[in-house]
Amino acid sequence: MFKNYLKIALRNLMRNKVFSVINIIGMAIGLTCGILLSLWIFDEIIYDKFHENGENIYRILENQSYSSQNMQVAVTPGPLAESIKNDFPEIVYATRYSQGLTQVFKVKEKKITVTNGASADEDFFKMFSFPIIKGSQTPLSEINSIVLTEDTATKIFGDTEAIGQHVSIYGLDLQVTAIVKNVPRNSHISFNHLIPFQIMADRNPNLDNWGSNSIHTYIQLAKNTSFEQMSEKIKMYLKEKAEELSSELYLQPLTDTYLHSVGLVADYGGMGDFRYIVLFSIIVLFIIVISSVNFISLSTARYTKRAKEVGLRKVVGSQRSQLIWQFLGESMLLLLIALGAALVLVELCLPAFNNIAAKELSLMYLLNPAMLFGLIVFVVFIGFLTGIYPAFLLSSFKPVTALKGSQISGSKGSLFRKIMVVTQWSLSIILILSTLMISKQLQFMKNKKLGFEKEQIVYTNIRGFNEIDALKRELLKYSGVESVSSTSALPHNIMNSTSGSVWEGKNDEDTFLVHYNIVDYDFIETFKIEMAEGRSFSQELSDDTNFGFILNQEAIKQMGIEDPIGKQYSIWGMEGQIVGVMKDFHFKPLHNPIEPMLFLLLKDYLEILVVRIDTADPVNTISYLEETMAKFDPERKHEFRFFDERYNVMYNSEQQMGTILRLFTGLAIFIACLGLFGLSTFMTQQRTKEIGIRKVMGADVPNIVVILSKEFTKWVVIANLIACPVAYFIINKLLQNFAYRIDMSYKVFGITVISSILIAIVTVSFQTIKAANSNPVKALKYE
Amino acid sequence: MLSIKGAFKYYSNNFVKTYVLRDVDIEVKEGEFVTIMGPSGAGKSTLLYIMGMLETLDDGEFHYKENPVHKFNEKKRTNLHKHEIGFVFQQYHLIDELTVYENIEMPLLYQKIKGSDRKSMVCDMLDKFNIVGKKDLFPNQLSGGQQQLVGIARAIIGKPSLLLADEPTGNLNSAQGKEIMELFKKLNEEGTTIIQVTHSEEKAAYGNRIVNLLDGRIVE
Repeated sequence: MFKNYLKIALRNLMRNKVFSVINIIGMAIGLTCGILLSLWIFDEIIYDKFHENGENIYRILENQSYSSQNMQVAVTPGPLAESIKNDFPEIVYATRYSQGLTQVFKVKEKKITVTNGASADEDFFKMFSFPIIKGSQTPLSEINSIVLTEDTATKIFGDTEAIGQHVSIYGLDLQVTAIVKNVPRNSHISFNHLIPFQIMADRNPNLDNWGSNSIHTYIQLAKNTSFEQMSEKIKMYLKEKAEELSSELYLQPLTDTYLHSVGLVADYGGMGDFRYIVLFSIIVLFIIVISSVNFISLSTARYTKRAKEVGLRKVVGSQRSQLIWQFLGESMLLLLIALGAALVLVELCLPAFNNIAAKELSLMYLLNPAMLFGLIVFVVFIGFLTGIYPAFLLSSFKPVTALKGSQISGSKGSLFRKIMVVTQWSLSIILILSTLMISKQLQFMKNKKLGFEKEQIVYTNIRGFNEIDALKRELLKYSGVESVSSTSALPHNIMNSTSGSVWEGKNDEDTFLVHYNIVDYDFIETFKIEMAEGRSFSQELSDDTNFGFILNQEAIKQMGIEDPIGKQYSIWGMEGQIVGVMKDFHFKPLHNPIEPMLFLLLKDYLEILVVRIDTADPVNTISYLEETMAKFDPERKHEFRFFDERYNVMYNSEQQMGTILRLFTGLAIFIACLGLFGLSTFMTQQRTKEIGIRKVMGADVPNIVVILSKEFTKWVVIANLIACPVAYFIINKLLQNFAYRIDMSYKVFGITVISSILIAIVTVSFQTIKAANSNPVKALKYE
Repeated sequence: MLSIKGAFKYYSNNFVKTYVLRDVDIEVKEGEFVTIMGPSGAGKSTLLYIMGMLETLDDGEFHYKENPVHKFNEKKRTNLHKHEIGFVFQQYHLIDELTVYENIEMPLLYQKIKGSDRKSMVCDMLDKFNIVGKKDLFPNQLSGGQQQLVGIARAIIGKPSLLLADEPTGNLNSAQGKEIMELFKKLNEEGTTIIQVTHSEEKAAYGNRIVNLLDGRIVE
């Protein structure tokens, strides 16, 4: 019996090649999209799940409140880890941690640059599961020790045994005490080498200060400790330590860290975003629904051709349930073929997709038990869902009517198909509209006037360099150099902020948070930031070094100062005057509104040299810059980079998501077109007789094309009517994520509506024109 | 063998009932070869399908071998008719995607007969109807007469006690038609009860009783 079913299923597939191919391709593409995006989602959600103690590890975060806003901060004071561990018996381990340092190693006169160095306390290896391959099991206990990953060890020492070797950083002699496995890709904690935190603390006295937040703190709680109770206990801990501290502490589970750190200030770069998980899940759902709808409507259409078979099988004694299983089985078979094709497609597309998404996804993920189980359940579920309706519809045919071959498609089946098509097109149109608007928003952010000019600026690191003035004079001699300055932070992403400012007329209850940037003369000119009032820093007027301050308009507004020029202002006990007010500029990614900003001159904290060069000959200008730097500072290698490139990196993840979104939206629309093509083929076949009669009665070709196309166009119009308001709502929600956003564009809506209808008409016209040109006598005979 | 008493069958369309059968009484005994005749729209085919349990009565009683069929649900009816009744159609109704062999075999699949038995039963049939050479052909590769032979082979392979034929020769030329009627006669002589619907007096003559239908009633 099974063999009989299989045979008839396969022969039917071969006989209706167009339908079968459309059905399989549509589903295969849908499944391919679904699998690719699921792999992406899977890769994101398994972040940090490999730590054995993961459930008990937390990161301590700070909640800082100011009158204008609340801030969640990822960094904490240096003394916190040790102190909190001593005060609470529930905390078994604690470590300070920071990462992302690029360091130059000296190994026997050889200099090697190693990126992504981290520092941590001894407890680090007791808490996290980074397996030690060789060497001490407590590798950070000695102050002059260093831990390398396998790759770093090979990079520095080649094949020679690394344990016991010496390297020098910051003039300190460190001994390699352990080699650990390379850090897995799906870990937010990531390092190539690791040094004891005390080395950092010894070099930076601020790290012993309760008032300065700059490092991450991780703790591990004893098993069965209540997360809620612990959070409550540590909430006011900072206040207990130092009366003036008002920030509250709270705990973030390690397993939430990667995806749920959106909006945290001073966090690591490269973190994930759970909103993308939600967004992509919705897209997976949409695409699967769209391709399932194809599958169902094409199957029901195709199966009506088999009414006779149903009738006959009933006549020779088939039960209804046997027929249901037969057709359900056929749907499953088709789905399995599509799945096979999809797996091949996924394998083929993965390299390109990985490239776009900056991932290293692999089909091997599917072997993960959870993933495999999910896939099987999903396929069975979809097979059942797509098979059950056609199966019930078909098996319900009355044998006698079915054999007579009269109106078996029935109005019910065709209404069902209409609903399906409308659903499918509504989803596609929603996807298109959302994608277009998001792309527009991204474009807008790329081109937005920032309030400073980011082109033609190059920069390099000059931390610890103290001949800045001489260097500046030397650089300005070159004709390609327009302007030179230096700063503590580049103006696209200024994160430092302070609440310690006082001004004339300040009330005691005012808490005012101001971002600050320490700059050199000519900074405002180099970046072409416009002034609203007053002047910028000037070398001629010596009082600037005696504390002149420049604030932005937002700061003046929040402080509530009238006529700010010349007013007293002080910060960290440095008294001075406001000498100028700059126009607001965007010093953070455009997700954020403009906040108060303070520029001040402090020679000791300048870290980055910025140079505006003219457009004439940038290559030579840059090599001149690098040569001159080398003369001044032969110890280090200096590389100048373009600031606008650095700026664009900030929107990388958005650009990536935008590309992925466009890609999958395109595919979704393609699948919907396949479905429409299949359905129009079927419907025109059904109306062969009608077309024949109309032609005999004198209808011409355009006439018939219009009659046939009208039907489909109507559905797509209805789909548009449903989709537009829904899309409007969704887009509105999406745009809320951006502080500076585009207005809803009715042009985009108009273009989408019109093009969706055009696409539908073109798709359908392949069939209608063919049908309209057919010979009417043949059409009538056929019936 | 089967008896129908006071049978009514109607179709409702816009609250108007169109009667197809009105108060029909008919009894068929084992071994008979009954012909139902009448003009188009008289209800011949409907009556035949009711006797074949593919249609239900709206009113009246239908007993088949002591079974009150009018009280059965679809599942019970299917179980009864798949072992008892074979059908032959004017349009043959072979499945286009299946070969001659597979078409003949199909009823046996639903009767859950073992593979080896099926094979010998189908081969017997092919032999009996002289179509062994055609067993791997598809229906559209056969002439009408040959298709109807396959249709009959399929109808009788399950050894039904009753064979129902709806204008079995309607689409055939006279020579083919004659051949098929001879076959029916032979089957009847071997013990199969046959009920056929036809327009043709000539074909009716092969049977041993004629029932005339007019506007849904039996006329004497």
